[in-house]
Amino acid sequence: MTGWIVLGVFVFILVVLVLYVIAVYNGLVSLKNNIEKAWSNIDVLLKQRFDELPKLIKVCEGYMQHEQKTLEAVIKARSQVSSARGGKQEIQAQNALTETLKSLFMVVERYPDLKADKSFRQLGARISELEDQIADRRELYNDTVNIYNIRIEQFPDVIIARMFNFTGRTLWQIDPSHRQDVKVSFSHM
Amino acid sequence: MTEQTKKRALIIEQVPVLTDELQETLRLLSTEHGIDIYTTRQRLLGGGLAHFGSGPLEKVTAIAGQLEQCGVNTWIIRPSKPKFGPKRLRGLEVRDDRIVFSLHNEEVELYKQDRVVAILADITGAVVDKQLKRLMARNIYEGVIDNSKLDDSEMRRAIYMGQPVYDLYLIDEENRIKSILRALPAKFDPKGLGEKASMSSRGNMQALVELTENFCENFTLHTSYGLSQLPGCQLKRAADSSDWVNDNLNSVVRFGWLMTDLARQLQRHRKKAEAIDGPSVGTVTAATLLGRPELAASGVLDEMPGLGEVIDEIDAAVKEQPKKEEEGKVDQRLPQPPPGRDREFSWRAMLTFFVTAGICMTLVLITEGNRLPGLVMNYGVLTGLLPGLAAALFFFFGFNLFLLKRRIENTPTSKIRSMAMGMVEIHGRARRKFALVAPMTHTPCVYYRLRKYRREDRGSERGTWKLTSESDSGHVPFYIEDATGRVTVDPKKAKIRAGSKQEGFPGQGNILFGGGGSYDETEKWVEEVIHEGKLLYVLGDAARLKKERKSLRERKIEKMRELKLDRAAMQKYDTDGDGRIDADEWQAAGEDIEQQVLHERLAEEGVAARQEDAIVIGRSKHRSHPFVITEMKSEESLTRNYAIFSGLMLTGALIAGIFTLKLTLDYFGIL
Repeated sequence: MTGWIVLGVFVFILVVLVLYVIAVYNGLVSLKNNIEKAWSNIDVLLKQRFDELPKLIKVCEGYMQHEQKTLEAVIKARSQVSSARGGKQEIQAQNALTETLKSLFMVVERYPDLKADKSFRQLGARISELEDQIADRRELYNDTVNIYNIRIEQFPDVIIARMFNFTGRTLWQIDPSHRQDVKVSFSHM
Repeated sequence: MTEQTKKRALIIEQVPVLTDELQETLRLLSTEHGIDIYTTRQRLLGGGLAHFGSGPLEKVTAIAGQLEQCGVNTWIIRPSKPKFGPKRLRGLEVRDDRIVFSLHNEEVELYKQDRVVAILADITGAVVDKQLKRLMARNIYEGVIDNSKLDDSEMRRAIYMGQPVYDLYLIDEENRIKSILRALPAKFDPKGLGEKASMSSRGNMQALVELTENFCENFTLHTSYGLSQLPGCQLKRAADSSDWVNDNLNSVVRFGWLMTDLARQLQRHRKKAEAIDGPSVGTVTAATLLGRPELAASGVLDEMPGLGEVIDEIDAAVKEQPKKEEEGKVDQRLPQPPPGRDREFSWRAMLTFFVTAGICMTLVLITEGNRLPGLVMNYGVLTGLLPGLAAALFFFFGFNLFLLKRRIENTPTSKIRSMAMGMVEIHGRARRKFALVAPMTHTPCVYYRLRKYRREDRGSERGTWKLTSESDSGHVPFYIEDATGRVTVDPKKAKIRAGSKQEGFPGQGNILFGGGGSYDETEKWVEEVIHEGKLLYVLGDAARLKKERKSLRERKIEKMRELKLDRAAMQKYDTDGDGRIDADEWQAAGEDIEQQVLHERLAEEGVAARQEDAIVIGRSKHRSHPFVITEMKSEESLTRNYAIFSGLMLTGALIAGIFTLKLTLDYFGIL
């Protein structure tokens, strides 16, 4: 009798174990795909921003005759985005574009006529909105990657992750130079 | 002690909701006068009068001034102690110029010009409670933000339905109370009411109130006893004291004396206000129109024949203006919830029903019906079939909970602003989209589930509660909002866990079922509610709402058709002025309309993209995708709960499995 019961318990545990392994494996697959999806969802917004930029530059050109350098930097950063290949390169290109856009909006402060232009205000608001959404989705992407990275390093998931070659993914990181303290000087103002 | 340093009490008229301005004033009062902000907030909220605090006249006047600026009515009084009580009214006689009230051994005369303060109160408190809650539910929770008070007629009706007391305070010329009369239902002779006398004691009471109210020129009626928070005027419940009736009758007297203090102060206020305000708008307008503005302040214009009516009309119109503004506020109410949808037809449910019914019928036919339950139980247990079934169910639900827990852990939280379509996890506060109120507790909510149970009073199951009906608000969408925005949630077919659960009986005093007094103890209602403003966790499928709309071509055709009917608009395109629209002109009109339609469409899209109603979180088309709405403190506590339940169920499955194994082996004699 005891032998049968032990056998029964053993079978039960085996069944639970097999189902558990399946659940963990499926969970990891789903997480991996979620990362791809989160990345693609950022791409959707980046594409929208990419498409809005020529309109913005066109509006700015009329007013900012003396800021060709800034505008060219935006155009260059935009073309780098389109030519970037691979995750890391693309992240760098997108970060560079974000930075040039920031400089553009800073320079705009010197052109009150441009700031008052209806089209510029609409485009600026649209791009700012997109920037906010991109930042949110980057955060979501990093959360997804983080959950995945933790899962594949945690016991017992690590066993299944190693068995099926699940490897870690990189977070969306900013340029290290942006971590430096900002120096504020009012002397030239 | 000087007049300035003598202690005065500040009485306020409570407000149903604290406006931002009032909140700011409370903060200011807290800093300037060291008043506890939480206590004052409690005292300000309600539907009656409240004692805000006491202190030297100077300090109290300063506080009252600040509150008055926020629209709170205030009175500064020196509360007088009751020197004598009311005398019971036995009968009355109405004469042309006065009403003669008969008391025990005396008569009291009430003349038309006498000043009277009247108190109409319900001493049971249940009705007043009900009214207060209804006021809160309607005015605060149903989205109305104006300071509307209790409806007077509704309040009176509620008092008459309870145990009413009617006290009349007759005030002499020196502002002193000369006598107090108390009328109780069925305790006075209604003959004096004449035609209005009836067989109903409460009807007679109502007639007496109306008679005195219409008879006296200077009459003030207070119905807020019980709702007010005044010292010594607290209403006692039957549960609080064995002598609650007498206690309440005495506190009505204290309330009455306080109201006469208020009435005296109110009169002073009015005189002061008239003096400050000067002539009315109507008087000034009339004086200006006559070309004699100096007459405005003299008061002569009001006496002039025909002009008094004009002045009154202008004043009435000026008074009407704020009323109209207030009416406008009603539009800010939330819309009524959509009507409940009928249950959708489900092939799966129908198939399950027929298969189960078929198996049962077959078994009944084979085993002669009446022996079926016994046989199923015997063989089911002996062979280990029933414990096996239990083990399988435990395992199924336990494992599903485990999968759900993993899914929640694996899904990162999205922000509403940047939410992508598909499976999303959102944390935020619940906000109502419709004026949904829980049916039992009348509290504002985004979701409720109401279960009705009836107690068995016969047979072996006597005393047990049996579920008789169940309803919920699953068809009513609501919003969830975080720091970045808000989005609609359609809770239909969601797995919902509400944080608040309450039980009650229909008609129970402290729950609003519409009635009062005794309640039906054979029926029980259980209500689960997600209140507005609660933190929610939502895991569901986000999708963009596709609205059916006309194509650009259809819109253009429609506009062209409208243009043909509009002669004035057509003339605009008649450039050569020959009175006819030729082909070129017609083409120009077509191009114009095309541009117009395109702009309209773009504008609509721009608005729709910003609208919180454009995206809805709901159940996915894939049945395997979870849709969870739950009130939670944190995601960790939610997953911990799921882990515990999953663990318990899997353990239950293991135990039931061992038991099944033992029974099966025993039955087949394997051991």
